[in-house]
Amino acid sequence: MSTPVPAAATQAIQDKFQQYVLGTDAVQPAILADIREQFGLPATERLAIYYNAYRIRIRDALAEAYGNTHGYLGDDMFYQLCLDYIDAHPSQLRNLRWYGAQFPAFLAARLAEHPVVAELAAFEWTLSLAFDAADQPVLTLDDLRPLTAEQWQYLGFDCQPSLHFLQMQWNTVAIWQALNAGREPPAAEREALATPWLIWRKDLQSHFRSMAGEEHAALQGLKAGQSFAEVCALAAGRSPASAPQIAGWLQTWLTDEMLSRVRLEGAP
Amino acid sequence: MPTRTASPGFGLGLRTDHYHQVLAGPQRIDWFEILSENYMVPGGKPLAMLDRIRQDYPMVMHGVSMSIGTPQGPGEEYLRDLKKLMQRVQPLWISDHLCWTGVHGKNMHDLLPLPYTEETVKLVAANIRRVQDSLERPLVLENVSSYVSFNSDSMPEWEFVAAVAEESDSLILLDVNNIYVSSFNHGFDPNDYLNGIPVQRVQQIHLAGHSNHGTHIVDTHDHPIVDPVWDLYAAALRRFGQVAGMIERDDNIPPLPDLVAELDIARSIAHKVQQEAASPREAYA
Repeated sequence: MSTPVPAAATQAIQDKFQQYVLGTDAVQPAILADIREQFGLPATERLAIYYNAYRIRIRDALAEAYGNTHGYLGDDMFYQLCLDYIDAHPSQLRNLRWYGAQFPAFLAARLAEHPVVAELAAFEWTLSLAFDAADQPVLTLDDLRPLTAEQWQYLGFDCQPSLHFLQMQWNTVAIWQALNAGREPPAAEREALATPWLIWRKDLQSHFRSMAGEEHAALQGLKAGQSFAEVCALAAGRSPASAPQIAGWLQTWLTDEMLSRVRLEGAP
Repeated sequence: MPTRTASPGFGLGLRTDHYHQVLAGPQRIDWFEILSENYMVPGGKPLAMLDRIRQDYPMVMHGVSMSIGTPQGPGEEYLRDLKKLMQRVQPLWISDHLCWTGVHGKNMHDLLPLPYTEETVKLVAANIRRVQDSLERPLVLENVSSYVSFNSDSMPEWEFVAAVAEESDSLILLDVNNIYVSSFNHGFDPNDYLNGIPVQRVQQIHLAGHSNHGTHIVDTHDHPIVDPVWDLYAAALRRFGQVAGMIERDDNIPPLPDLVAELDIARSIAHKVQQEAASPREAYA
């Protein structure tokens, strides 16, 4: 919202100051003419405190969000990648919490010959998304007991907002686990087939586990809005042997706090 | 003039490192200051911990990204999120900084200095009035540390802080460490600063540590409070009375008992100042 107060001089200083901090104007900064020379420290060095603080503050926020990616790459490489990311992505966010959202994609492009790094970063970011995802009621087995046989025909579920799927092509989780425990990580290994991983929040902590293909398809179907009956029919069509397992999976999803409420769309 | 909230005593900044201990049992801490942005998230542990600790302690909300000092002013979306958190926390008061953090939709995530001019006073005061109307409560704004001064400055910082508060009818969070840091960096007498601040507008005092680089001091909040800042705190209490005080520690965070012990120093200084006031020295021996 614009203010009716004239502010041209303040605006001009802020424009020049920001250009300097962002580094688009660092060699001969226009703001320098506005800075008073004072005893003790030249104006250029006074300004540099702001230039450096911007980069260090955001770098530290990235290091916090990507602690194990940082550990995997080491200080020099991680900090250089942070600086390049900061230059490529001036923050447009009020809250630093979300600033690292594009870092995995940035790493995928910058370290294309080492895709495991971007996968590791994507895993860390998704863990953080699960950690502070929106709160929803937790659906329990008891909530399903009153449902009639007819309602089961229409039954669908809302999944918890913290529930995410990730396809991992590398032994990324083993690397993350080693780094997280302070151990030497195993060598990066590409797997023949990508493994689906599930990330969600339980008891206020982020959890993760791999899933077999059929369970993955079933839970993804539920999350996409398919009814439980549709999910069962599709699973039976793909693999008749897996159909009897679905009731067990549902029980696991409920006890692991992955579902939030029942939907009975179309039920009479 | 807005009514100041009565002092809740001596507080600490709430930090994740201390959640467990804060919940484990009563602490010698009267209230907590939370960093608003840390809890402007959808849900999960941050908000769960906030709700649990709020049951046992009064809280104050302290923001870092309102950016009150730009021609655009704080965005409606930010104010909406802040109000949502305010309704959840029911804070004693809400504060942010007398600074700007970015223009044209960008954010430098820093507390950037404002030129101390009549134009800026009017601009900031208009923004504060809009925020106060939106939040339906007085805003408390903190003086920031700075490393540069502008050629266009037409008044000292304390006159600027006082003028903004008077013109917007808002309250002041006086950071005595920031006064000390800026007095070193710009070569003024910190007591002139204190004497320039209107007594009835000071709602809270911040205490913190800093890093002295010899030629300049950087406001890092990663060290214990130094003696000259404690002295300035005592001087502030003599002028402003028993204002709510708290310690801000943002980096190199020590165990909670260390900060509680540092808070005890603030308590003992406040106690001494109170005793001085109760029994003034004899004018004639």
